[in-house]
Amino acid sequence: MTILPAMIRLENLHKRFGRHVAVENLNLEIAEGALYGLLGHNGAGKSTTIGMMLGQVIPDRGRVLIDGRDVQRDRARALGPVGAIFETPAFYGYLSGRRNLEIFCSYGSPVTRAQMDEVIDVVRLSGRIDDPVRVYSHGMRQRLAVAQALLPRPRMLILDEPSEGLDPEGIYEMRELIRRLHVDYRLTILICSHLLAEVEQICAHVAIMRNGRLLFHGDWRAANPTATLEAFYLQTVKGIEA
Amino acid sequence: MNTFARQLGFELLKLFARKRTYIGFIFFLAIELLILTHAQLPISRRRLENAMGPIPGFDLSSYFGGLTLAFQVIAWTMFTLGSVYLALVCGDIVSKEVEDGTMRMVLSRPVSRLRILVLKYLTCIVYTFLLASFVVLTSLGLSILFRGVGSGLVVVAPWERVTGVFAPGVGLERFGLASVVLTFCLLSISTVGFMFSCFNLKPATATVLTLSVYLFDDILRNLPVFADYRDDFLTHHTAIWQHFFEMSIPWPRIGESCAWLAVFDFVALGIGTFYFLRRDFKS
Repeated sequence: MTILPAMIRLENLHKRFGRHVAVENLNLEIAEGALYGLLGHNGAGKSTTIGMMLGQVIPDRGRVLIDGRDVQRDRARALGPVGAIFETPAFYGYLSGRRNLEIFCSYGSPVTRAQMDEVIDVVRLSGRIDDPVRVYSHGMRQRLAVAQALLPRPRMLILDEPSEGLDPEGIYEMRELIRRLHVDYRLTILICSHLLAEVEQICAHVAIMRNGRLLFHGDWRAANPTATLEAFYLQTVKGIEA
Repeated sequence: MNTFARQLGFELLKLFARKRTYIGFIFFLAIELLILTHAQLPISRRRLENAMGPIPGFDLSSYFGGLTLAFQVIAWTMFTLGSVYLALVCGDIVSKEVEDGTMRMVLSRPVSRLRILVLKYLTCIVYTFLLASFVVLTSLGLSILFRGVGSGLVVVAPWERVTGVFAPGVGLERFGLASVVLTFCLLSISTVGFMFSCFNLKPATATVLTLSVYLFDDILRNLPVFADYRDDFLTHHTAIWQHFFEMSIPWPRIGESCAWLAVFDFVALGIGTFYFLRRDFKS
């Protein structure tokens, strides 16, 4: 078995907001090429953890290494190979989808028009890319968010609730897109979600958080081959509570 | 540099693609037209002449031309109306992106927070420069269109104890010099707006706070009880551009005020940057 190097390494991460401890001494490694799920209830610390991975939230202690680079100290280079989308992706509604992509891409490595068109095609926005984003549906915005995360071609995707607010068809499309990106582009993907059924279908490895603490990480099927992810999650969370 | 120029270009695009950015330009044009139209009335002209007062040895009516009116229009409107639009745009520039969520999108890209702030502040400078230039040029252009150049420029600004009478050529020269410093003076309002915009505040709050700082400062400066401290107020220094219209330009005083404003801007910028670099961005 080949041991792949860690794409993301979280070392003793700790963050509190006032008296509330959002993340407590979190240690986690995500190997390159993994499709990893980050699970937990609302307020478990998932979004704070993702915020710290992307340098948006500053940890009180600990550090985040992406591809060996410290996000706090060397943000510009550490985030070079990362693409990210959030629960409610925000865009400049008064500008076209293409212009939005150009703006977000200007903060990274240069992107050619051909590369941009290819990604627009992958997310199936070719016919509407020159329309102002304010007329986009939620699903189209989500696909535009995926497009900006894929430009320039990253090695890792961080997806915070990618299926949130999508209709069943949109959820299916998003799932297939994630699978395709993982297989075709060999991306390391971290999905943060509370839709356990979705994560179950695509992630072999998960990390489960509760009240800022990591309860489990690794291959959940190996830990309990007979359980569904929902059963495994509840078993893990309740086991700790008991 | 190419990347930086491209990023700055997009920052300007984001600003100037929004309709609200143009509100300031439109209202300035409207108020200039209103003042100049009103100034055409004989009664209005007499009142203006009375307000400016007599200057011994000069026939005021022959100087009551476009250049003189342009100065009055700028002096009356720039720092009252101007402060509103600068506070609106610069108080919005970071906080609006944070509120809308686009700042989180930007911060997920491989770019340093400092660079984002530099780009935003440069955008504030460009907006301030464009607004000041627009007001000066349209005031001059429209005033000359309405009343012609006249025999020259007469400046009577009792609130700043400035009096000057100039031939048209020298008057225009003084306008040129004053408008450069005017932009610099206005930049201090923009910088206060920018500073508040970096804090964890709603855009409207940042705008209101900016206006409050500026108006409080102006009110306190004009209270007799603070007469001994006039030189320590922001608005004392932001009015320095008017001193280019003294008969002899008081360069030391202008230099001193510009240095004061530069230090003020530097400190405000430093506070805003310090906070922005250390704050958390969460949904």
